[in-house]
Amino acid sequence: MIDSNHVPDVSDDEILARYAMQSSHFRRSDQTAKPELFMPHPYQELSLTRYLDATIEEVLALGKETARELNKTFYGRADIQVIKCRVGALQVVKDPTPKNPNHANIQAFPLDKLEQKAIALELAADAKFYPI
Amino acid sequence: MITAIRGNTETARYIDAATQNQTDYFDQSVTLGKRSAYNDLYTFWEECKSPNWDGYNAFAVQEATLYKAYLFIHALPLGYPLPSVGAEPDGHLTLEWYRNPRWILSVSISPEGILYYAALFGTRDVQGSARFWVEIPQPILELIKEVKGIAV
Repeated sequence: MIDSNHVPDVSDDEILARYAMQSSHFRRSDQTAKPELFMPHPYQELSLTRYLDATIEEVLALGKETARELNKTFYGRADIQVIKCRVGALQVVKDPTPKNPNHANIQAFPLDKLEQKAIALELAADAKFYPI
Repeated sequence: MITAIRGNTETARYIDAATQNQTDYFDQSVTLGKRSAYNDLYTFWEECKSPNWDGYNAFAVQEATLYKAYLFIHALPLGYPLPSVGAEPDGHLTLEWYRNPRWILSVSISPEGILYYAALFGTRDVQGSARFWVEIPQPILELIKEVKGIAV
């Protein structure tokens, strides 16, 4: 994992993971992420985990732990490259937490529902889903 | 559609009966198909009727939203494919018609009956909103046909 005392800015070539904790957030038919997984409401930001300096096992362990704390089922992760997240005004910023120094947010989602949906469709189309 | 053949010959009576049987069978198939969709919708709503159903602080999906989604599926004309069901963190239910990640229509349904739709066709995207009364707005029906590549 990233050294929490030296967290670098997020670069375009990094990969981020978005955890799926709801069965309708992916399609079982072809194992793809659904746009709902990338809808930001009630915030204007979307929570993800960076792969930088982390193994897949560590990223998965964080997902499982997050789901366990929330009493949810961990279904898998949707991976997306940072540059694909820079849609419109969206920004990807580091947001380390005590438990997850690799935590990041996609920020500055528009408030307009239709714009959010359009972005979510794009992000889901560019993401690759990995079921647990 | 022809539902009855008027005539008094044995052939006419036979065709009339056969056509009626086919119509009954077709009606039953459609009803069963939609019943399955209603069951899916209700089962899914059970998962989302409490807050934070997604682990990211989502709002609960209200019963009024479930009812609007039911009415939407009920209003789908014959020959239109049934959607898959989902939900968004603001408590809207979603109905999705899907061919691949870049050929997709997603319709969000609010508890007030407002429809928010967004579609992706390769690099082209379409968005809009409309109020749902009794019939499904024509632009959404056209998008369903485009996603599924069907002529109804």
